Amino acid sequence: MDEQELMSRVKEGDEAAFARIVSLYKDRIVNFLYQMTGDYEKAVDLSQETFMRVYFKADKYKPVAAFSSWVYTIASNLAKTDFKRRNRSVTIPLDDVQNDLKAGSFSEGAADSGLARNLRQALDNLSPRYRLPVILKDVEGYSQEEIAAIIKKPVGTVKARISRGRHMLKKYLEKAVSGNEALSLAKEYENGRA
Amino acid sequence: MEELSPLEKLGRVKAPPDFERRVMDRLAHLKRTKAPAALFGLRLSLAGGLTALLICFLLVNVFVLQKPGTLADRNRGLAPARSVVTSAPAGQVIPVMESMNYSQEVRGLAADPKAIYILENVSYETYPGIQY
Repeated sequence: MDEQELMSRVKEGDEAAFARIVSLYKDRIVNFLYQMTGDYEKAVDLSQETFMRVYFKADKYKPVAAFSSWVYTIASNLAKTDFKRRNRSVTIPLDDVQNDLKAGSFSEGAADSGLARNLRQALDNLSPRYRLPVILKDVEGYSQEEIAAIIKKPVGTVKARISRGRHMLKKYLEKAVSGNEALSLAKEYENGRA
Repeated sequence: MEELSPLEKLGRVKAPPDFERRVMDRLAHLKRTKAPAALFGLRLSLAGGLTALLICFLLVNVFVLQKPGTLADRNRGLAPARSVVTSAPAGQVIPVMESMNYSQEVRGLAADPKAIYILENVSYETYPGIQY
């Protein structure tokens, strides 16, 4: 059963179809919101809210675009709203961001290294305006057209924000760390990505 | 050639093991609370609509629709000016479209000292010489 069919069942109040959708998307949405917020508990909470909206706003879904785009639109709107509400911008001074190889993180798979922590902090310092398209592109692997559909902006704007976001990220990393690992990472960022 | 993404070094997190159960619990809770809330909202909007209609009705009656007023009111300047015709072109018959309540006239002027009006029906025919 594909996602469109699942959604048509959810519209009729089928909770089993809804549970299937949750099962399919839970990890992707939690990860996306974690990258957006930098707070795992908050990400889990916002993910639950995302799925509640999927269920209660199911009748608003039009199968003209990919279902995943619609879910990510809801999730990114919630992340933006949460950001505004908290107006947190943790604003870690760049001088305070040190390369700590003993740092821990929620990350799985990748090395739980200072490099990951520096990346996390650099990402947190990035404005949501740029963070959202960069994460959708570089973490979630969406195309620029798909990102344009998710954040409801022209493709040109998306391209510009991704480029600018990456540039800012690179600058943060360059400033934040002095080790060879981070410098090579910054170079990789500059050269490896079009 | 596939591009390398430094952000992949962040690693990915997964949903907690009981995530689905928590979502379904939350859904059940919201379903229980949303239905009465929606009903309450419907009732509230209906009550608001009716109240607005009532207010409109009262405003129209008080400020827009005026009573024609009695003859005494007109003489005192209390009746609407538009009901008083002061002049008309010669030879033109002006129909007077005003209902008169004589009982109110008598009652209204009864407050004046020493004024008694006796109304007597003198004829059932209309004299054609008199034109209003």
